[in-house]
Amino acid sequence: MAHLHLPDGVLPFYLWAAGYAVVAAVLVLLWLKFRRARNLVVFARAGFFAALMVVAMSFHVAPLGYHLNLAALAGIVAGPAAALLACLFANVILALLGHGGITVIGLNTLTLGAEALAAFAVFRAAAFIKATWPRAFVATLVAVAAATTLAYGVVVVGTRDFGDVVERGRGSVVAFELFDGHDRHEEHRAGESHGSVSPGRLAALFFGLGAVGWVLEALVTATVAAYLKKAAPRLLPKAT
Amino acid sequence: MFFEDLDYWATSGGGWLHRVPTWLKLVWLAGVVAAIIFVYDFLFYGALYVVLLAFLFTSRLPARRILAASAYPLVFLTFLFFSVQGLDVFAVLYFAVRVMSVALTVLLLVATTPLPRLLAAARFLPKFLVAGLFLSYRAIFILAAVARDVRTAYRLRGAPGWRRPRRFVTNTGRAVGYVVSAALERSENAAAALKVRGFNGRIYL
Repeated sequence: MAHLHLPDGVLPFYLWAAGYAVVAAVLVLLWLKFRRARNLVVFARAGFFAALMVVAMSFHVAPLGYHLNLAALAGIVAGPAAALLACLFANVILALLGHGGITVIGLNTLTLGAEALAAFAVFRAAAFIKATWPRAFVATLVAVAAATTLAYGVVVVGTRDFGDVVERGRGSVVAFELFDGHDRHEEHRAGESHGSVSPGRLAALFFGLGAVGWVLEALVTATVAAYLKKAAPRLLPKAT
Repeated sequence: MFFEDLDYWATSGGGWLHRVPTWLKLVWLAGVVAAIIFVYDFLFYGALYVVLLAFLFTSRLPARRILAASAYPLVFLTFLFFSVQGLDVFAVLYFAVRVMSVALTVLLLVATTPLPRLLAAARFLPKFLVAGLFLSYRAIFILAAVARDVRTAYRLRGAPGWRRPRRFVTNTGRAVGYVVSAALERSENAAAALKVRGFNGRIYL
């Protein structure tokens, strides 16, 4: 749920263009950071976590279409810079698979990146929890909840004109009198709204169904982090 | 995995779309995305979808699998439709045809053009982005190979199912943990090998 699954053609131009603009600004900062280092290993790590996210999102828990995204794991293990890059790479590849739109790559990178950053920050801040499992569990739960809230906000703002988009499309078939277009078009002109998104219903979907996914994501991330702490401690931040 | 199949179709296919220059396919994709932004005409999208179907059925690609993948965004659009008041058949069809047009365009591009060729054509992107995307592409195959080995080992050792949920989650988490650590090490080694061979972030074909 923290990942916007909206395809192209749903969100308005100003919103997804803003998403791209913010991602471009972040990329400039990352480019300045990595320009001199020429450290291919950072990109290898970012690329690996992008691949991990792509693979994780390819496996669905039927029948609700739940899938893990492991962005929080990327944030905890790879750190904020590599995790942000990983989120961008993952969203580009997912868009090429038809999973999420091309125009929403920027917004998806921001929502997934927010999850990774929040997980990194909470995991770091919760250093008073000695055991890795509960610490990663809490970090992931908080991060996914925060990112879902962000995604919810984006969808609510972005679908305010949903009815207008439909009406503009309906205008093209009025002449052919398909789908009782004439009546609806007249009603639209008269100011009656059709096909508006209900924020309440959307919230029930995002936070009701999504909560199950948060717990699932937190369980897997915490177990993987605990395993890495035991078997490959070099992968986790030194302070842990 | 679908990504591996796409890569196989792109590298081994011999249809006419495979022979179309990459830049032309990228221009076509840009045109379709621009249409999504600026065109609201239902009939336009209907016509576009028919043209894309004609491309698909004449390009020697497994049409059923590609069509199924192009319908994938509809699953998530359905969730949005649940929260729409006053939804009618037209709205559903309108968004379905818009969404599936872009998805099918993208899938036709990726199923007929190997990703390294696409990245080589994307000279307008900064080098570090191309390098990162190329390393992601490589890592997917490394990850898939390690994951397959671990899954086989896991099943051979009698993997517990959902009937024992606590054990299942613990063992699955450990298996994923092993896959992460092993595949990450291989990915970093692959990147180091590329660096030794003089990889500078650009792909030359």
